[in-house]
Amino acid sequence: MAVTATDESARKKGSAELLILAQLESRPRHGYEIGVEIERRSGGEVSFQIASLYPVLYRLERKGLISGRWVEAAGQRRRRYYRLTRSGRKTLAAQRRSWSAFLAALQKVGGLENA
Amino acid sequence: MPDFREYVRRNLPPLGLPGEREAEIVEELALEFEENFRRATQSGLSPEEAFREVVQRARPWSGLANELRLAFNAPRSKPERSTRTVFGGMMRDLRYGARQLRKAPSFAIITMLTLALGVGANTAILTASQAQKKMPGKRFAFAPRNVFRSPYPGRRSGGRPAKFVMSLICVKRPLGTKNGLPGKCDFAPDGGDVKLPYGELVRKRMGTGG
Repeated sequence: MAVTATDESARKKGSAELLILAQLESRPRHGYEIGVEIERRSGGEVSFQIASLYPVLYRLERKGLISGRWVEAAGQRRRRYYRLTRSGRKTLAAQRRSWSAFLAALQKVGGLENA
Repeated sequence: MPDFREYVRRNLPPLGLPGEREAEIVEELALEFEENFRRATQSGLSPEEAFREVVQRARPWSGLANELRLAFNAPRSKPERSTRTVFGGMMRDLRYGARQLRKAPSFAIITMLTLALGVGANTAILTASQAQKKMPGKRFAFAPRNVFRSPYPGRRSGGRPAKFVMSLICVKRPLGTKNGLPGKCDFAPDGGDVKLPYGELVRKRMGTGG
């Protein structure tokens, strides 16, 4: 069975929260930077378009897992930087545990190679 | 650099969020477009090619708007077909009314009172106008009425006035009017008065008592 774009989209949608939260663990970032960082760290395998990145960002903010703040820098347009909240850090840790368990199970059941 | 803020504002359908929040979203999306445009031109694309590639990523705008509405838990836009039928349109209006009533009850109540007063005043004016058309030169229904004295003398029971001796006093339909205006009747205590809108007196005796 071929892997369709829909399969990939569904996988990305399911893991979007983890991917975004993880980019904010070390420091606050703005939306574009989050997308670029995901693409860079995944070696270009995962990339987010506007329609998939920003709705997730706003949803995470509404859930209180991240908080956004406009920051103005000299000579630049202001940008909205997002940082992890305390609740966001807990959620990131929980999602990491959950995904690790799921991936370990996939490796066993699906015969995947170890990363 | 194209004006991406204007481009996003023009293409992104309304999200149903407060204006300030929508403006911030437009600004943030425009920044994303600008960064992508800069990256595309740096990779060697001409500005026209870069613009085409960048805007291609945001399509379809309706899908993006729906995703954003979901993210903010804002009302999702309904498919066009549901508003094409009379029933679909009515349901949409009812839902909108209920939402507005929840969001701004004082405004909704003032609106309803204004409409009710407007409808009431309109009805009263039209009724008066119709009455005048049917009875030229006659009094209006709400004008001071003719007072008819009951032609029956008041009875007394054991030296006291009888309490329940009533007569039905009626008037004929006014002369010169065609169909539509009935005679009018009302009860009057014997020896007492009754107000009726018009017409020639017709006496009718009713039950007695007391």
